[in-house]
Amino acid sequence: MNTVDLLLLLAGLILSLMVFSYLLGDTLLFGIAMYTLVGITAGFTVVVLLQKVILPMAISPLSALPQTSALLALVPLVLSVLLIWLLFKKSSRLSGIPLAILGGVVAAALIVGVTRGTLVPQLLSIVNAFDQNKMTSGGLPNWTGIFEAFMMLAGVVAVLFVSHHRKINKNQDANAYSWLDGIKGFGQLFIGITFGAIFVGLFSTGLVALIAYIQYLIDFVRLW
Amino acid sequence: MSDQPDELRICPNCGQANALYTLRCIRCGEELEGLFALEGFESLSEPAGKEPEEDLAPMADILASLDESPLLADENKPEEESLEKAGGTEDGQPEDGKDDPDWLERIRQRAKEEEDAAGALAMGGIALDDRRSHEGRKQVDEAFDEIMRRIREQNEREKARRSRRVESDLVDENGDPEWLRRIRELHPNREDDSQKIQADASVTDSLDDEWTEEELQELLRREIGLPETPDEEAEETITQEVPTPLLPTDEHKPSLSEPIAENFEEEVLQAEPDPEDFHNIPEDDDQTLKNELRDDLPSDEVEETLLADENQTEAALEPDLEESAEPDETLVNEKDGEPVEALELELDSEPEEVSPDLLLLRNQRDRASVFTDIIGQEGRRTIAVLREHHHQSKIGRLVLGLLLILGVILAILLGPPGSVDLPSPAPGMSFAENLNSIDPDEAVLVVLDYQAASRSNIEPLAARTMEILEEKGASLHLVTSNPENLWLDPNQVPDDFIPAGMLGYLAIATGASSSWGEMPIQQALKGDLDLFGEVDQVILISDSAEFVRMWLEQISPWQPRIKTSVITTPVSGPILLPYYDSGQLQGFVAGLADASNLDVEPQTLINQRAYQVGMLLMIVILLLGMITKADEDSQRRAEEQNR
Repeated sequence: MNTVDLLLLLAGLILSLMVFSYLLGDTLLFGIAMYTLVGITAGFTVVVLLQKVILPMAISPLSALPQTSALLALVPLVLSVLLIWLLFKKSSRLSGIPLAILGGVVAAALIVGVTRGTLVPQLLSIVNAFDQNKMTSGGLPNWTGIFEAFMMLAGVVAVLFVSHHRKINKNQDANAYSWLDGIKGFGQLFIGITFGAIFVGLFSTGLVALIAYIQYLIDFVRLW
Repeated sequence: MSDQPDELRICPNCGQANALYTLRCIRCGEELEGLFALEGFESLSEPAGKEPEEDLAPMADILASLDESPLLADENKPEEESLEKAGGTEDGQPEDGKDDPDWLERIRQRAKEEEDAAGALAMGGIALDDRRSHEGRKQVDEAFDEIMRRIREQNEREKARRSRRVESDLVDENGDPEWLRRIRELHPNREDDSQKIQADASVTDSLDDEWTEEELQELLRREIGLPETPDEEAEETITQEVPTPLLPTDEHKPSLSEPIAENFEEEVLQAEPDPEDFHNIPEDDDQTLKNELRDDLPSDEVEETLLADENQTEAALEPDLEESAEPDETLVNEKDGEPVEALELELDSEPEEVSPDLLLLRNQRDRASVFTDIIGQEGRRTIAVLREHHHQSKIGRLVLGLLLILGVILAILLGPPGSVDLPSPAPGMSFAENLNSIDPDEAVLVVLDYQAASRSNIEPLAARTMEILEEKGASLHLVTSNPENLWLDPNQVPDDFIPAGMLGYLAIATGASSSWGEMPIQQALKGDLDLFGEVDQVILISDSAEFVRMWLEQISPWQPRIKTSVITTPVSGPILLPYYDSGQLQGFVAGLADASNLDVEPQTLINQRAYQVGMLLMIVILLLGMITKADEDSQRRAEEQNR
């Protein structure tokens, strides 16, 4: 191990301990570590964007003027200038132009994407679960497939009903529709299982990271 | 305009020129004498060409004409007056009165000759006019102001009642509203009256919702003292003069036209024999008192429930503390800062017959106490803090963290690393099968998008995947839109940096090539301009399920032939399962637990003993937390029941 690697390991050790100081609260050491991370990341990002985006995509094409591609390259450049102008005059109407274009494009892409990429495929998946080929196996009922199909349908309906029934309960007597409470509880069961799985995954991810860094620190100490 | 300016009457007091028919000076109010110049009956203003009157009219005709005179006529007869004017116009006589009629000139002449008789006659007419004009107008104005005042007050109460209708609709187990219970407390021996009040209140509520013309007529009839069953003519008059748009609002105050005002005067003059109806002092009998209470208490309740409203807001913002919303009803009763029992005892100890004045004073006292409470709450926090900062939670967090770190360190230092034998999940198996099915001539696009914090979960799996792909001889193309990925792993340096995140990928995935040349986004690619052109497989290496979902929503529909698989963290696993079930994902591996699908033993990647210790500690902590929470809840319920 050369000196550079040793210094990097030492810096990593110190920064890791500074991050661990968050157990004592939002201390100065934790703040220094966070600001160091943010500052280094921001600086690196600026360099990357200058090298890979701004210069090759916004500035270099201007050298080909008056070709069409160069003229078109003026469009993002002007929009970028208008966005920068927003830093100096927040109420500028011209600065709203690039924001409006960006917002409109993102909204349109999201709506189309959600429809094509999530809603339709998921609905077809539920419908296909009731396919006869999936519900039978060798001429006999495939009970596993049948159970999965009905559980999938029941889960979707029950979870959708949770939010709907929550609104109803505000205006109506809770005892009037007790059977609806049963469906609501069924949906909450699905939601609880989902959140439980996500929590386990979150803790597992954090625990693996914790073990990895502690292992790193122990290995560093064992070097001595 | 007059053709004869000499017809103007000069005021002897101030010299103001007045119209001919003017009884008083328009400037100083001085009575103008010499109006009835009866002497000679010849008009001084009559043109020379005109012939004088042939005969002298008898005094009876003169007096009769006086009654018909527009000056001395009743002001409440505008129609007759207008008809007379119209008739005069039709006869060719001027409307402005400058061309005097013959009879009037005769009266003036005679008044000049017989000053005493003319003066007495004029004084009688003036006195009659004064009396009728002053007294009638005063009474009409008072009655009208009283009506408008009551309508405005009722409208204000209705506004306040509507704004607090939810609070005012609080009912007890018997279905009685709060204000009715308070009335019953004040009238313990008048249950029947209270029931009647309740019924009246419901009727009042329904009436208050919308004023109809009949209700307005009834109100007018009651206020101006008309009989309960007026004749059709009177009803028709009222219906015409008080239309529905006269509903009292602050923005649109009702304005009566002149005929309407005159008809009001007429109605009041008809009702003059019963002047008691116009006084502003409320009747001091029981019925009036009940009506006052019926009107006052709901609005009073509205003021009192302001405090309850604030508590309800706190409860809405803090759903976990449902119990905090319970004291709302008691707060209304504890407005004086006294407990409910004390208030009830105080009410019970009062004499059964409570004088109305005492009730009113109590009502005023309640209002004063409510205002005192409101003023006292100025500057205080009305909305509860969502989360109180307890020192105990910080200490508990420290203890928990230290315990976890200590357990992990001990597990690493002590004992063997351990082993794990977990069943392979279906998505992981599918990912491995798809990876093994890649042919050597296939092109694989690897998209990197993860943070430094999750590299422990991702990079070992990514490195193994790259190794398998290289063994198969597939051509790899690494891209990223996250600058951090450019320097995280030296072995996975991306070939291209795609700016703008998902929009950058989308711009390339649409495959639209411009006729004018290269698009700026295409300059991000070093070699082949078509990023997705020859690609058969896409492997997303991301710690964000959101990024994967966006890829499936934005990119995959444009490139449906490309198979997509994912390397991600355990957090994203449950979220990506539906996309795997729907066939949009070929498979995914989530964290080191799925490393066995890639022929990697997890214990070689991380200390499994420490992992098991950490999971065990978390399970114990969760169980202890649930038990502690259940114990606290049971103790709180027991305390509430005891209370």
